[in-house]
Amino acid sequence: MSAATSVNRQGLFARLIRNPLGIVTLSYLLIVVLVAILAPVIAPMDPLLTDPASIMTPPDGIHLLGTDSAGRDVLSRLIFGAQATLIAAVIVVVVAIVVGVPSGLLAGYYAGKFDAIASWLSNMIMALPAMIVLLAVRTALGPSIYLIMTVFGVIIAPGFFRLTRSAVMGVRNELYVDAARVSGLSDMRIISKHIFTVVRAPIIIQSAMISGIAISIQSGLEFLGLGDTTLISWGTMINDGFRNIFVAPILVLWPSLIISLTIGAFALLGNAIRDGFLFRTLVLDTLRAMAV
Amino acid sequence: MLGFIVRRLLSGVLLLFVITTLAYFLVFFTVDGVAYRLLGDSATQSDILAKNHELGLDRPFFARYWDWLTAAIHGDFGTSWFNNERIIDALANRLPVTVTVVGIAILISAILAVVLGMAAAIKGGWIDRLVQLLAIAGFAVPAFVIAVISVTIFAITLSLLPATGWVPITEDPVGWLLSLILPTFALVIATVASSAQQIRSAIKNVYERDWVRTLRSRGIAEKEILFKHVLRAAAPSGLTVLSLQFVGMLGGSVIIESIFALPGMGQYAVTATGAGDTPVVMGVVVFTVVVVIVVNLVVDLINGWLNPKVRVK
Repeated sequence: MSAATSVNRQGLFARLIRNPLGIVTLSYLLIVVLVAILAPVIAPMDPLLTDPASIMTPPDGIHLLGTDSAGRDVLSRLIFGAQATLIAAVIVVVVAIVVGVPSGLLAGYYAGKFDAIASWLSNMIMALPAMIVLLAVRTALGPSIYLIMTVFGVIIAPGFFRLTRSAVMGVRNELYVDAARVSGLSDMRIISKHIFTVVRAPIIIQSAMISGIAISIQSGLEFLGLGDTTLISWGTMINDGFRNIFVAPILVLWPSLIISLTIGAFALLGNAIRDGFLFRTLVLDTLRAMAV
Repeated sequence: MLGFIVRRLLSGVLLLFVITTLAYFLVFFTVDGVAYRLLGDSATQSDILAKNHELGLDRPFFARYWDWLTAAIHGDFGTSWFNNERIIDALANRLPVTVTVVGIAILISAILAVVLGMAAAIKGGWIDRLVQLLAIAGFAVPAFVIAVISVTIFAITLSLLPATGWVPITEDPVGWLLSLILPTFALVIATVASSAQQIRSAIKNVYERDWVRTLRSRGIAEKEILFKHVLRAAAPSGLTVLSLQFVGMLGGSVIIESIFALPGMGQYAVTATGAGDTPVVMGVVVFTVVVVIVVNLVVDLINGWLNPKVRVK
């Protein structure tokens, strides 16, 4: 596996854009990122501007996707909603990697007591329904969605921990690691230079999947009204649409569509990267249960 | 086997203690704003002090924790801060709703997933590709989105089913069944394909073993290999998949119950979280952890019964 990884190293991006699935999902996600960054420039209207005269109007020349229950422009809110979504995904992935990968490397390399404790903790966290834990966190810390997503990063970190740990255990006794040890390299150097390369690709794949899960959780909390109510987000938009489902069912359609497309793009990107690396393990495993 | 059960039970109790302690520290460590939140803007300083005294919040943290723990062991989780309802009673009323919804959903999901997963592993071809495609689709569309869309289609556009609400089975069995269809549908759709996908991998893994080839070379019929040997060997992984899925559904039911206005634990937790009713949230956490531990225990026991190797470890 390590040989395959180093051969593919330079070629990952090239392989990805040659793969039709890779280029489509990558372009879509790039567009979402650009939309989020350029939101103030490209949004046709102020997403907070209410207009009592045009409430829940169907799409027309001024409001391309119509207006919501407060007369705000749906398209502009969709555009600004991309910001909260992407920030949430980035927070979760960064926290999960920072917590999960180093602990997984250490547990896999040294085994023993540290591994026993870390594995026990990781199993304990994975056994809990994330949503219930997040409700407790929300009760303790208040309605800051970014704080809640930071905790969710810790909750989902076992995904990275287990992945890293088992990959390291697989190569710990390989000849090339022994050779590095015999030639007098320090443990730190062996782990960072020779063992980390083995898990880099699976980490990238896992990050794509976890981004999708993060978006699902973030929009779910916003939908329940437990996130930041001042924040413009796709989940809040579905909430607003669902409250008025008998009047304007179309309002739930746009944010639902965009949430599903974005999560789907992350999942497909993860699979396209996996194909590029010729991995046969499916990355949806175990993680999906945490998202529901 | 008895030793195995006792070991598992003890580790379950330890887990329950650790998790609930951590949760208690998390939600009850700072209680500064509580009295103010309960009393509103008009509260005077002495009102707040009185309220804090009434709730026992003026006492040291560890004394409060000790009282909570000893009461909780006796099944008493205190009362709600808002309506003085006993939390244990509220939970006992609400648990059956959650268990019904999640139980029916996991049952349907398990049957469909096993059938689909077996078909995908054995027949391959288009069923295999369909399951993979559905697994991605199920991953992409969150359960609450499926719920919202299915309400729009089946309840509002077609008016076939009730949009929201719960009918007790004792009042109207048909209404009860109808009120369950959409919530379970949303949970099943969100999970079934990914379970099927994982059961497929589990069965395929077993098929690649050497001993399966040996069985074939001895001329044993494919059917017998599948039902007598492969499925038995794949069952532990399949069960683990389903138990993870069950935990996921418990989390998913939080949103689903809120959407369909089902008076279950999830909806209770969401309302309490929104209001800041900390003892209620704590009670829900304990109940959920107990349910999760019991389910994992049952799965472990079945696995131990299926595979003697597990018992020794």
